Amino acid sequence: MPDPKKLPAVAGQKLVVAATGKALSDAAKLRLRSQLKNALAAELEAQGGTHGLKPGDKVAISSSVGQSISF
Amino acid sequence: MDAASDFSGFSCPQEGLGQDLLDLVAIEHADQLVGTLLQRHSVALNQFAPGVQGLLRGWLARPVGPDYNTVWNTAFGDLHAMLVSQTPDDLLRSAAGVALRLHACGHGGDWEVALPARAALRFGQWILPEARAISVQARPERVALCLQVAQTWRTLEFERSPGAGWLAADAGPLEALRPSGHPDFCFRLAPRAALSGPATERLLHADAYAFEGSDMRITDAWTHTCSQALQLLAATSPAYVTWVDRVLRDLVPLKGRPGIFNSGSEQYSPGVVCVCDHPYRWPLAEMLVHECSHQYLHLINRLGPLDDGSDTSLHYSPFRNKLRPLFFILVAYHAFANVLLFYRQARARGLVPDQSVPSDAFVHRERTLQAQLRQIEPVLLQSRALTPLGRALWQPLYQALERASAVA
Repeated sequence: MPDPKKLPAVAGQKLVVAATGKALSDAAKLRLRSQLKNALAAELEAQGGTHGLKPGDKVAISSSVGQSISF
Repeated sequence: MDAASDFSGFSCPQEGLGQDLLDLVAIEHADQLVGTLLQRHSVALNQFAPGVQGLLRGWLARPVGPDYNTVWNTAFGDLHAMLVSQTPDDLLRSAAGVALRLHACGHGGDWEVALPARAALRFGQWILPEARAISVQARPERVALCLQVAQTWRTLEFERSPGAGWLAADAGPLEALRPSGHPDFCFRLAPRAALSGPATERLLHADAYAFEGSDMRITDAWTHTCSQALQLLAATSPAYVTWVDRVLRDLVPLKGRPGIFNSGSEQYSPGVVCVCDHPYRWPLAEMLVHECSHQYLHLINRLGPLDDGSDTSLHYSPFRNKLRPLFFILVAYHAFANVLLFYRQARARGLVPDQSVPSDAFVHRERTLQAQLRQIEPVLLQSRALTPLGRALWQPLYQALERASAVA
């Protein structure tokens, strides 16, 4: 079995989108990683309880536009 | 820079969302999910899915690189849902789904799994036959899948073709559409089989609607409508093309019902949007803007709650004509304010509604949306329960609409 660490991610090309001038500093990245980790840990601890929702509940955010759709 | 200005890019395309922030939120979240899977279920994976753990550990140890497209995928959503709901019945299927996603993106590995029930897994743009077991040999340029279909084993071989993605000899892939023509962004029209059973259940039942699996269908006529809607997006606003482009991955048509245009998405299905297959291009363009706005909300929500839970009262929402919690008032404002900005751009560019309808249809739609947004603005303006993340989501939109009103 090949070592996955040595394989290139062929599809993981650099995405090029309009520059926003909002590059993240290394400190901001560290802070965000910690924030993400804590938020997911809280969600898993609460079994999706961030908003009182969990898979299996009817969680879809959806629109039912009962207006005329003739335009 | 405070959090509100850090995250304003999730509010609307006019604010600009840096790709490095989008990458970080998507990739770090996926890494955390896979880490949690390994932490919680390594024994079961080793016993019932030998090889998967090695693949996943290797992927976590990969050289740092942009992998947004790899992880912004329904396979990672299924893993997320399985971990949150703690439904071990879906452990092996969701782990296999992630493993196949990694192979489709060029990560190699050998593994096998026996599933507790037959399931149709997905490899890149291909929907695999329903199988009870699967054995995989994957290299960056060639993947061989052995599937136990009924009582026999069937082998499918895929080879990567430069510029064309994966090719297989005897099957047709899902159709890919590229709103902006950007080589890294595309979405696919997804029939029922393209989604897992749990994802289908999550997406089809909402408090605004309920559909059956048989309602998920793709027709040639609707595919044409979809192309027309994308052309409208392109003609209206490059900003909203990119807004849709970056997050939409699977567009699931639902059987249209007379007089009603339903659409839906949910937090455990990254990139998946359901829309009714009515043959109207403007409403479809609107729904793409609306539902893709929800995708950005789901992304920013990964960083933490949008409200602190201290406001337990309900507030009137004219969009549903019912009382709703603060969180859903915010959700509605975020999506419909983006739709309003989209229509204003359409009118500013001189675009007109279709010939068969009143020429003031845009103006009427704009006025309706503006009046509805005005009704819920006081709730958001006066709320002390919104977190900095929640404020970052709606305040830039409010300011953009206020600026436009002042100019008018």
